[in-house]
Amino acid sequence: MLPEKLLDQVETPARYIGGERNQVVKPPSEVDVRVALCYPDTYEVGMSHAGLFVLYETVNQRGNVAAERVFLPWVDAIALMRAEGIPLRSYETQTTLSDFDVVGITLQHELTLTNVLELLDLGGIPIRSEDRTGADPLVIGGGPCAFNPEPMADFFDLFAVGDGEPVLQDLLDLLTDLPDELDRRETRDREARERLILRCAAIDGIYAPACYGTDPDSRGMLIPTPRDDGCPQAVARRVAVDLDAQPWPTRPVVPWVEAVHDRAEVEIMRGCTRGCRFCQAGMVYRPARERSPETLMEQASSAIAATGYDELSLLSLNCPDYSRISELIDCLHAELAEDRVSVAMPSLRIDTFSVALADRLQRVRKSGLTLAPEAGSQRLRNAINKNVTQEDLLRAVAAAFRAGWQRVKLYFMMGLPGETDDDVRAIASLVNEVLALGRRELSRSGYGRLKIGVSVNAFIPKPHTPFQWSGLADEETLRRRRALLYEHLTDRRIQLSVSDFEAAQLEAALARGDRRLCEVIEGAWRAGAVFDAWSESFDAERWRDAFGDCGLDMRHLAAAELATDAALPWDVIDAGVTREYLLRELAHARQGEITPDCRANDCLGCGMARLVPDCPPVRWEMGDAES
Amino acid sequence: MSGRPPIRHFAIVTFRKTDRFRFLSHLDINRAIDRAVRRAGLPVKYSEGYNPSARIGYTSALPVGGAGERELCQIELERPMGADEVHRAMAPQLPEKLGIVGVETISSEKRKHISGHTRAEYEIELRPAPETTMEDLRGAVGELLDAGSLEVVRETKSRVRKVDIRPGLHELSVLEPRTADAGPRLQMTLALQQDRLAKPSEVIECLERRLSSENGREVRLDVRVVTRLGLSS
Repeated sequence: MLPEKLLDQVETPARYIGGERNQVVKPPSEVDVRVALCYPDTYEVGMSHAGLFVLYETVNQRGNVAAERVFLPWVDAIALMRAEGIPLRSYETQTTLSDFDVVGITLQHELTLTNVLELLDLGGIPIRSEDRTGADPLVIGGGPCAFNPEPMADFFDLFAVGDGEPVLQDLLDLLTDLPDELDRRETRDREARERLILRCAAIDGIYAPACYGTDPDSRGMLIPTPRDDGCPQAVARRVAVDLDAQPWPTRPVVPWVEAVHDRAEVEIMRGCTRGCRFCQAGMVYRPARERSPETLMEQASSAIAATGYDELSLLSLNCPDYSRISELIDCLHAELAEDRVSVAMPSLRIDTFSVALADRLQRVRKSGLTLAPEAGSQRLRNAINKNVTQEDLLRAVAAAFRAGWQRVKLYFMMGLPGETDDDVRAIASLVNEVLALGRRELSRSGYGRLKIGVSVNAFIPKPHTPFQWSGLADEETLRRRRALLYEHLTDRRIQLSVSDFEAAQLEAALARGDRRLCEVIEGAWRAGAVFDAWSESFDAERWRDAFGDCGLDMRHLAAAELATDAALPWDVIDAGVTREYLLRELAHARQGEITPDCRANDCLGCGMARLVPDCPPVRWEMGDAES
Repeated sequence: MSGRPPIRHFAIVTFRKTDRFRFLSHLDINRAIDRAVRRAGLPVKYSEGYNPSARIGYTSALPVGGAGERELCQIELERPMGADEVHRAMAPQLPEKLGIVGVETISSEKRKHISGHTRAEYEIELRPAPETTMEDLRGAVGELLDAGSLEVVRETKSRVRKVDIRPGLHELSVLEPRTADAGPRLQMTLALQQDRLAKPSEVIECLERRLSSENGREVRLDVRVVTRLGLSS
């Protein structure tokens, strides 16, 4: 939210004006606890994040508490605000960030971490937890990066690990019922603040970094250990087992400007148990939990009626795995087609069933079809447990061509553990097979219009996955393999894009970092790093210097192979899957053995049953069988 | 083929774009009205073809930052509706400062009902500036109206050329500030036709040039907001 005279001077001013349809404005004097929900990126990105609005709904459903939105202004607006001494304020009531009781910040990926410091500083809150006074808000982080909170441990008072809805409910229960000496921010001293943090830390799923000390191990890595017996060795991730019982934003806020995703959304399923060995989401959001079609129909209808959107998107890590997907799509169609609402399904499995589903959704206008084989050779696909064959892919693409698609996008990774140059050549052959298929299956004019997008990202090892011990491939190898792709993918119908290797290096170094990285992140931010996920503002040199200033080497940290028998900084978080399971999966990967999905087979003993007694919560039929 | 073209049904909606909403782009406005119409449940007519869109048309677009008191859009409907009925359905769908001013409904063979405007009336509010008095402004306005031609440089994507905006400047006057801490206002009526188009910013430019030569120093007019008051033919 910016004053009018600044709006005249910034790019896309309408993203700062607020007053959107369905925003919830509660007079500050009428609520007991005020929560700022912050997305540390631009408005357009943050407004497209369903998770933020799930929490917005969770808080605002309660009468005596209020949630308001805060986003990071773009660099031009930040410069003006700093020059004019204008602090960062919320959209709903233009409250300065430091005046909230709770500041929740979602950590969606590593390249937004400097944005968090920018956001706190611009909001008038000391960036380090230890520098905050009793009057400062409680600063809580959540989201995927909370599964290794250590690189941000110095900046947060608390982290919420796992599903945010139940954690936030418990936190609000606590905060709305505090004794006066903890409650009154104006009179709260530092010692009271520390007691408050301790009380919050007792909530299931909350990690308070201050309760854990860090002593360097023999490698110099800082491993958090409880300061006293009251703290668990590892904080168990919170799991909302019954999704139907969780709040969902059925009146989402409608942005005036075009957001990244301009559509209504329903989350059909959370979690995935296919067990791809590189995938953090597939490991840390287990088990797969579904909402009922009845609930989803209700949520979809009210979201469309309240917004006027003409598109509804089904959210899940893998939509075709939803056990009643055909039934759901038919019902949504029957309900929404008359109002000219199209239904979209962004995540697809690689099989003809998925293509048939997508065809039912996009009967008329065929946008691109996106499939993710991830690796080029069968050997490597087995190693990463992506249980798809070349035949599956070609059959799916052939079905897509026959159904009228002329644009296909294929996602791959490069630098996977155990990868050879031949595996990368296999990516090129696979893509060229798809091209040849297009020549056979498409009409002459269709083949002329064919576009095959090939997106290749460097594999980045993430905590709590079987590949967490592996390093990022070195830059020379990645460059050589990228050259192989360019050499073999020459047809003009193929559009190859390969991710930036230096940004990948930073992401890898931050993802598996320990508490030493807090100083690195602060140093980089003080040197001007912000919006690192945006290529126009990312500066690798600045980051290398920031690591160097702390006696660390970004390249080395990114590439490090970690010992499988030593403690890891993120062992302080119990994501559900156990070290034994991850090690077993790593061994299978090395032997090229696949592991089936536990939804269709026996329990694999991944460790989730410790957190969810009746795991899996529903015994499903496996998808809808392919005919 | 012979025979009369079919009768079509339209709602002509007058709306305002004021306050902070003046920062919306034309595309943002289109999206906002589209969604308001869908929420209101109006039986809007859709285009044919692969990618049907609601048949909603607008008059000449306002720029980002430009305000409007009586902007127009035409919504084609599947069936005739009363103006009141449309107004009642639409009004709660938009905030007051981007609100519906009035609705008219028409059934006719014509496809377009809000084109053909040749003039636009504007009010420009200046920020207070003690060095430029009301007297100075009135003098400069008088000289502009007396001038035979007013040359400005207009840049388009492909070329830069000189144009005379005097034929497009129909009326121009100075009004007192609305409040004690506001600045003076300029009211003007300008041509919209391509061949004699004049823009508010170009009139300001001519005024600045006049004031500068009069004072022997560079004078800038600090514009707070340009409001299009209405369109006429």
